[in-house]
Amino acid sequence: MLRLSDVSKRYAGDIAALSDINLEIPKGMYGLLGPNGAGKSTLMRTIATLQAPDSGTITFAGIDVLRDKTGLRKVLGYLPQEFGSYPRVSAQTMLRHFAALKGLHGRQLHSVVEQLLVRTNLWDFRKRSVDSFSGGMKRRFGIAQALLGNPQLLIVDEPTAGLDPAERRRFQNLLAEVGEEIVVILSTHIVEDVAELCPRLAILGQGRILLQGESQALIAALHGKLWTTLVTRDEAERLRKQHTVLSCRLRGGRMEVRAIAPEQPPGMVQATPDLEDVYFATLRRHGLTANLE
Amino acid sequence: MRGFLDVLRFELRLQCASPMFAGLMLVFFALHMLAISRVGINLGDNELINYNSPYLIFFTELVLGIFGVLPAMIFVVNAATRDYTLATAELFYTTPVSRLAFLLGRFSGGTLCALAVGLAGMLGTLTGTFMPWLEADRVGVFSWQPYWVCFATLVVPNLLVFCTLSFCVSVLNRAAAPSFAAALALVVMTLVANAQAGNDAPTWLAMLDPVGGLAVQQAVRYWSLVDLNTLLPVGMLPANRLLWLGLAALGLALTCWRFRMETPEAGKRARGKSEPAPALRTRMWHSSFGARGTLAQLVSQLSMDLRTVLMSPLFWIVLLLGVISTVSEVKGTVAPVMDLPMHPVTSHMLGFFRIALYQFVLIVIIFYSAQLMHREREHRLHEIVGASPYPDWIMLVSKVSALCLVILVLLLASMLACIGLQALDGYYDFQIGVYLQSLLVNTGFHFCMLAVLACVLQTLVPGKWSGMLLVFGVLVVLTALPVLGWEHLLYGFRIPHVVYTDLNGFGHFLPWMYSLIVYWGAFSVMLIVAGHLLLPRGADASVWARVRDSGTRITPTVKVASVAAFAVFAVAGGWIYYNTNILNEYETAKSRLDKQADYERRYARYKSLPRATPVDIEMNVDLYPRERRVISRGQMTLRNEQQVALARLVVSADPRLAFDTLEIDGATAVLQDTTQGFYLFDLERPLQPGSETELKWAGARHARGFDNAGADTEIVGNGTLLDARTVTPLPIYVEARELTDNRERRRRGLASRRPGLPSLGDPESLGTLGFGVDNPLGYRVVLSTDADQLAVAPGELVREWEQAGRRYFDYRMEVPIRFRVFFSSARYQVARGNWNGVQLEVYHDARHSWNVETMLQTAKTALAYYSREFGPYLFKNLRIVEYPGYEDHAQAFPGAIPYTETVGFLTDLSGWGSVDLATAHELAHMWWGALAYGAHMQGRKILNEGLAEYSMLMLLKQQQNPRWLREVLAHRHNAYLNGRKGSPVPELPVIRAEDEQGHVTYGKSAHVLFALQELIGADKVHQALRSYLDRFGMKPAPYPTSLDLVRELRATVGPEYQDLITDLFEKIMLYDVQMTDVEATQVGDQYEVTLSITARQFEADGMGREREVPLDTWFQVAIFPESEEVLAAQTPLYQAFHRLRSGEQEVTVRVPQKPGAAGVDPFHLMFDRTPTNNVRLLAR
Repeated sequence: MLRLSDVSKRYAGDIAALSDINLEIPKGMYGLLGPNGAGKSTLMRTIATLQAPDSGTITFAGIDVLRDKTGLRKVLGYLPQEFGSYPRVSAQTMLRHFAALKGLHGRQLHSVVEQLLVRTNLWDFRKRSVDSFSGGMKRRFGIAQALLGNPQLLIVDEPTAGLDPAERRRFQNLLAEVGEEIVVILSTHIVEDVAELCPRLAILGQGRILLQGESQALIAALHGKLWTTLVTRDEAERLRKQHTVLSCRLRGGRMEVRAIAPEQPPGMVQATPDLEDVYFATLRRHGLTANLE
Repeated sequence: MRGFLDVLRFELRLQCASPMFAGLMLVFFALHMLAISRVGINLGDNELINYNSPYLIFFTELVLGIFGVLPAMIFVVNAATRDYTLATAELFYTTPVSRLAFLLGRFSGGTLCALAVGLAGMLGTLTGTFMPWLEADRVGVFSWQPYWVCFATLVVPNLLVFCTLSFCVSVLNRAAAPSFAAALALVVMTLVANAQAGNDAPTWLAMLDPVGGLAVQQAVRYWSLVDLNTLLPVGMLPANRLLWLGLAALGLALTCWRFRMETPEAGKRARGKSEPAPALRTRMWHSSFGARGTLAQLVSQLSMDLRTVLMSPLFWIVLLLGVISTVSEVKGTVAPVMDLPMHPVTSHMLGFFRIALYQFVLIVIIFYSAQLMHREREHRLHEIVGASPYPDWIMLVSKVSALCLVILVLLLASMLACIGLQALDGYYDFQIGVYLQSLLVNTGFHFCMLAVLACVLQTLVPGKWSGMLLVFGVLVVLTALPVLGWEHLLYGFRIPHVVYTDLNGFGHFLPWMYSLIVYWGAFSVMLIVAGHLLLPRGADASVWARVRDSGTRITPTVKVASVAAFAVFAVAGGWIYYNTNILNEYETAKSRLDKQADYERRYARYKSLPRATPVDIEMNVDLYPRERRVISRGQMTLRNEQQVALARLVVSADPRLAFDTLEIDGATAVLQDTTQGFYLFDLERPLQPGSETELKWAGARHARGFDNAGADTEIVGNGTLLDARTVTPLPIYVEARELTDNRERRRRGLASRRPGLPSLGDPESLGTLGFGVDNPLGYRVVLSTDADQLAVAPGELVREWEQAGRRYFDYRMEVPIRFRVFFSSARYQVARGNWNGVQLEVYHDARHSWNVETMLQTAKTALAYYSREFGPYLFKNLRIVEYPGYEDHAQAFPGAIPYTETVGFLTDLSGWGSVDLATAHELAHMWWGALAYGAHMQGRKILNEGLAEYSMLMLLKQQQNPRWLREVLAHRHNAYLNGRKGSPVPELPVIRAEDEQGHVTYGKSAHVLFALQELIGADKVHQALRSYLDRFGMKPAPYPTSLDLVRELRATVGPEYQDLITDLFEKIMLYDVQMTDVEATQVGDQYEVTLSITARQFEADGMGREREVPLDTWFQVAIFPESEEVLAAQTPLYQAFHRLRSGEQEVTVRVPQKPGAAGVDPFHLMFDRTPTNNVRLLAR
């Protein structure tokens, strides 16, 4: 169980990156949703011991993360949003190096690296330099290094950005495989990732937790309050002024407008809410309207 | 064109905004300004060359410009590779800008920035020549011309060439490292070529020099001082520039043609060798974090770090160049006398590593410390790595170790190269242990310390470029410290080079070195701890934030390590301080000058006090080489040879000599200044003219511990060589201790004085030789030393015995000698010989026996020849004594010649038959020096060095092979003409030469005397020399002057040569003879050869301003047979002197054989600035 209490961080110029974050994250996949600049990466880096908060405490399985950084690092797998490689170094060599840094050595190191290369489908490409990998291969390589040494806490930051659907699917499966036994935090701005993988989630905006809970419950809470209609562009514009519109999406040349309202607005039918609606509704509630186009 | 301008504008905006640009402009401006105005940086100062002379402006640019080329290139390389490093290639390549516009825009932008930096340097030079601290008489009339010509012919073309080279290489390789490597290769090749060729470079090589240095050197060859001050040293520079700019344009065109705006194809698909994937297992693995795990972490990180450096071509190029530089240093270092090579003993090799490798190691340290320390961040690996569970210290330790290992690889490669050189020369006593101790321990530790410092400095800056600048700046400051008078070892952050000599090994320097290693080692540990606390891990944070957060890293281990390191640092520091400042006096260059000034200020008033004359010295000198201690006891008979009674006597002694007793019979000490070694005695009853008294003393000189400079190399474990005057009190005020440099005198409130020697003929100086005690005296010494060593002094060895585990030697002189005596002691091997009852002995190190036989042989030949020609040899012995190579020196004492090992004993004399020129020269001093020594005034060295050198030439003339003599003559001819522009004082005619003018005292004077004897015959010249010796040999004052020598010559040569003597000895004359045409016709069985000769004569003043004067003198004319051999080895068919006059003339001679070549003054007896046109080959 990962617990964050009152974690705050300000950057120079008094920009609040994180304010009073309180989270309890149990075993399993946990989604962390938020628009770009919401503070997701700062939060991930803070949990991953790469950045110290100004205040607050973080504990994981009895480890005081802020004091005993090495203690956490021993059970941590971390896949940052962006990473590179030493030039002209093969994936296998790179992975062996990471494995050594994670405390593996000798025969064990070699077999762990082998196993992970196989599991991430990189075995055939192990002699190639990581720099020459495609986006999906690089992400899989990232997860391979994050899984080295049996992490109890796995943090993956924006893992599916820029992947094609097949790659994304493969990556999700890989995560799901490991996500049952340990704490996995998946930070993303792509709602589908969370919807497909995470039973629990939190939504982050402007450095604050806007909403957290089990995704099913959060979706259920919107039941009966969500309405939709297909209209022309002009009408969509009009609706937007009248109602709390969550999203406008082009569908077959017309606009599908989804709005939230206690009563059924005229000309709209009830819609089945999904996680995206929860996400937009939350942002909307906090005045953080995402660009709806 | 629009596209080009857009790219250019963008490029300029980007580059000019970077702090690098402003920083480099500033550095360049400052560097040039300081260098030309002589602040801190000194590029070989000659006070006769104006600060704003064309030569100095060009020279400054050549020295500084070449190093500036590397940083300036950064702009171009940056412009060429930015897209790959920032991965923006696709962005740019998809814009509608044309390939050519894109490429040329980038190139022009980068090059313009580099040119701006070059211009900043030029402006620095310009500003420097206007600085108020320059001596007004060294600033000539201002002219823009040299500045802009220098800018146009050196700065711009050089930058264009280098920028083009780096641009092309980096564009075609799409990476920065190869272009750095290429540029570095070019720079080093140029430096090596420049150093090797000097100003004797053949035209083709001067053309090939990409920076034009050789062309400038060639232009100024044989220039006079006034030429250097007024003429533009351009020569063949335009041709050279055209060639290189053409090559650059070609390279650029080629690059434009080859370049495609495409990203490289995704690398080769190096698939795994279709090895089947291992089966998946479900076993779980567990990390372990014991010591073994930590070690594995370190090893893995270290191997990744080493890999970066070892895989980079730049490193291998640097390594190669380092090795080349070492080899060329070793091969380029020659024995002083005739540029002969040296035997490749290990001790000889060791001197070069520091010098030869320094700049390369610094490049490695500056470049790779930045590269390694910022590597994870640069490749965006810092987050993954930072979140791994390794202890914080691993990263810094790994980087530092990688850098140190790389430096060791560099050192070892050079070591192997040197061992290879030794093996090639057939020398197999490699002394690997000595190599390792000198290279790895001494030099290696010094470099590794710098590596630690550089890595830790990198933690203070955000990126690698700023890191490189910071480290560079700090290294410059460290180098400048001692120059600026901050000399103490406790803050110098250096392990000075420890000289290894075959005789004395590392000697007493080892405790010095190891103390410093412990001290700076502990400091390095503290640096590493500091770096460990500051090293960023994970997200970016400012230095201050990291300082604030460093608390979490202060673990017990860190505390223990830093406290322990600090304790060791403090204790070692205390120990060093105890040695340098308490056991010894801490002296700096400045404090030594202050001390000299103080001596003069306090005691110069006793200079004119009538003094007593020592007439006999008997002393006991006990040498304790292991303890570096010498005990000196003795008594000296002082006689009043003045006209007046003496009531007060002064005594001076080396301040290092601490007296137990120092007394004069019948006198009391009224002043005892032990700091300056100055004592004053008042006699109870004045010493009457003709009467005597005794000076008695007992004292010790003890080199305790080590001093700051490690300067005392006189008393050492094996190979002590002490000048007797440093352990003997003398009844004089020592004028030699007065400051001579007028700038330093003025700074200390002392009156300026006439620089140089007293003028020729100065009656006041006729009675002094400048030794302090000039008169011949009786001398005897009982010398003792450790039982395993031999102790040597001049004189006849009367008795030798052993007593209480020590050896004693009783040396006496049968004839009175000037008090020029040394005491030496070492574990010597002795080679003996005999010439007419004169005992010949060579005391040498057992391993240095190469030249011993030649020395003995030369001694015999020389003794025979000199005593026949000049008069009998005065002594019963001749000892040649070796002492350690802490300096390069040979000196003649009465009947004994000490050589440092590097001078006489390691010269490779093979190819020179049985003549050792050094011995021939030194032995001649037994006549020209020991017998007659010149009075202390201008021209005095002519009578000592000049005549000794002449004697050596004459000895060489007696040899079978004429080639040696002719080569020496050509060498000396060249050395004189070259030496003129390096002379620190205006040139003077032979008879007035100052001591500093080696090209006149050693060179020209011997050469003209040799030419004279070729013309009029050695008999007449030697008759004059014998007459000179008769008058002055061992005679009391007045002592001889060069006027006396010339007077003797004038008396013997006859009336027709009087003008020639004037020209050779009393004026500065230069000749220009040229063989314009040669024709040969067969007459019967003989050949008639008609030579067309043009001849001119010029008289020069001290600065080299020339005026043509009518010529009427004799030149050697020679006809050579048809032969493939070099001229110097041929026997001419005809050789005679002909009287030539100004202008064109014909000379006709007959030879019995078909001629191949004809020459006028073919062997350069007369000084001719165009020596190559003296000989013409005949058409076949």
